[in-house]
Amino acid sequence: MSSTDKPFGVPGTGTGDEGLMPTGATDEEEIAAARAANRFDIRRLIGGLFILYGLILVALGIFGSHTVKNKAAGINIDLWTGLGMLVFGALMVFWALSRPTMPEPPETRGEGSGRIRRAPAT
Amino acid sequence: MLRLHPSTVDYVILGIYFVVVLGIGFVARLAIKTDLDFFLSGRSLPAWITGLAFIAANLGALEILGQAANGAQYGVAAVHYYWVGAVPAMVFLGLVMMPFYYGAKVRSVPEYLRLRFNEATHAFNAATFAIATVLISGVNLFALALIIHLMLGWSIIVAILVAAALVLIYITLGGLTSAIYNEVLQFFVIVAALLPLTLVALHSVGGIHGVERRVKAFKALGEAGLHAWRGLGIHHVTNPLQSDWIGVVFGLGFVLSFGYWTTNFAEVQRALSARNMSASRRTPLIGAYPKIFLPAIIILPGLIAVLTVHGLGVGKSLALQYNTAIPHLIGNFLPQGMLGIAVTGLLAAFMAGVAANVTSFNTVVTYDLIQAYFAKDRDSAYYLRAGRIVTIVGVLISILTALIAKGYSNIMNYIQTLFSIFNAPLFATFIIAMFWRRATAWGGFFSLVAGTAAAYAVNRLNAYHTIFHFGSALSASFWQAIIAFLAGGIVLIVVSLFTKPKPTEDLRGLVWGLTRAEEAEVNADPRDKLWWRSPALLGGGAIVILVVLNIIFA
Repeated sequence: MSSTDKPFGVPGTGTGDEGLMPTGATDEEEIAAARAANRFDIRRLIGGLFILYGLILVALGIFGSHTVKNKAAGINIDLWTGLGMLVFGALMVFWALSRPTMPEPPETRGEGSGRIRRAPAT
Repeated sequence: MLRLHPSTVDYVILGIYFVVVLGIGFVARLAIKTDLDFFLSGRSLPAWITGLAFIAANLGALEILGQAANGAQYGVAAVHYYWVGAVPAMVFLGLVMMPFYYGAKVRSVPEYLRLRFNEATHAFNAATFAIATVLISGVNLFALALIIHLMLGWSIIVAILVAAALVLIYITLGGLTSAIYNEVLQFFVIVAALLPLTLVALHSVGGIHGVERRVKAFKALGEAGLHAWRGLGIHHVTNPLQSDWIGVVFGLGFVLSFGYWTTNFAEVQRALSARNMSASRRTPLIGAYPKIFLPAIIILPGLIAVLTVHGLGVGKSLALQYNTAIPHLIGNFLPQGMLGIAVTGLLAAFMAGVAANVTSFNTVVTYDLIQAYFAKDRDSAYYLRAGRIVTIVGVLISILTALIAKGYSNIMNYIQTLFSIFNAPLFATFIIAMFWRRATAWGGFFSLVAGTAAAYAVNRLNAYHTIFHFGSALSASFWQAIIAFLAGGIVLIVVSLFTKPKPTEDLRGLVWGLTRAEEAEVNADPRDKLWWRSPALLGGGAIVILVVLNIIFA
């Protein structure tokens, strides 16, 4: 793959003019970088954390003591916030998976792969 | 006495957060050898992330404790901090200043000053920036210690020392990567805690109508506490801010706000690292929208707290400072589980705040002062070692400045005082330098010195009730900013007229109208032409919402 073939935003090149820079990276290195970029995608991180917190809160909201269920002016705040966090977390994960930062398998690159487009040829 | 009583499950929630944030920094450094700034720099994620990072960088202790304190002390009028004091400046940054910054390829404020003026101006600015940073770092450290104090009941001094140790561990273990992730993550956790808290608190006082009824009956605020724009007449000041409209509009809305949002290194940096010109301009504009609505979950709970917590802001005790408005609500309403989320959000936000302050203190002292003026041309290991020592020194000084912050019942007043001394003169120098090519090197230097000195002098005279008497601490900070701005501006113009201007060639790319040779737009994206990505439309939309809200809450 030539360097002009890359979508913008490849991590590590950093200057925003990837099209002009000889990266010297092999395909495997690029795929590894793309995997890492996706693994550390902030949307996955937010989603995962919120789902985990949501589960803890919902469990407390269902199995908690009378005080837990009624402290917030009679509202079961753990249950409702937990459900909200679950939904929000799931949406974040869904978004991150359906539109990844970096296309991982090479065949999904190029036209037709959602938001990722080619950089203008130089 | 106010105490939060976290249970095991709350500590588990807190533990999960810091394991995730520190772990991600650690693992990421092993996986990728380059800096992990890529998700923040917006080169691959939608502009809303950079926009969120833009306001998240500002949503620290000052905002959560300080603005809630303002809500408690001043009522609805505290929205001026958002609707007058932030959003217009953010729109201005996106529409007018960003093309200039981005196009001029300037990376920081001190760097700009060195190129535009001279080394003396640069050194003076770097030194005042370092002082301002450790003072603000102290506020964040105090806020962190306050939460530890409320959770564990340790004395505030011990809590400050423990908080300082935690910050050092956090900076050393996590590094820059953790800091960046933490900054965005904490925003979501804070909102997840504050939104339900506000709704429950609102429910407990009988909804919006309940708040209105009780504010009217509340002696310290009364009817005036429900309006943003009433009682601001000159010589007829009856609003809780005790400031007239000149102070609000010119002091807060123009000097303080524009000074902060358009020259603050941490803020501008978020937008500068965007993928292209269009994305960099949209960063502050997208951030403006959540910023407009943040008062609903920060100022409103502060207002409810003053109605429901007996004696808040009256006594001298730490537990009844206005700063404790949000912690009081947390203690009153949140059961285990939600308590953990809230405590996590607060600790994460304050940790991010101190870490960011200490890191920028480190950068400025090491590179802009030590390397530039005291120990030139050493090997990089020397500066690395110097940086580590400066970090520890920065934390130690922050412990002392945290004790200063402890003396203020409302930390936002203290922060505004700092901004009026350190940011307002900078803004005067900056804005004139950008638009007037005749401004000379020494004009810039003396303008900064005069502005800073004037603000400090006004501050002292007001403190000793000599010459100046401002209604409230808030009003005083507005006027200090105005006077600093005028002093800095006048000195810049006068000195410039008597000194030799810089050659036009040296100013290319630094002054409005003197652009460099036309360069191709980097990373232009054809989709940026879509109508809903137009900066003018985004900025205009924010202003329209702002006007409508101001009319509703007038």
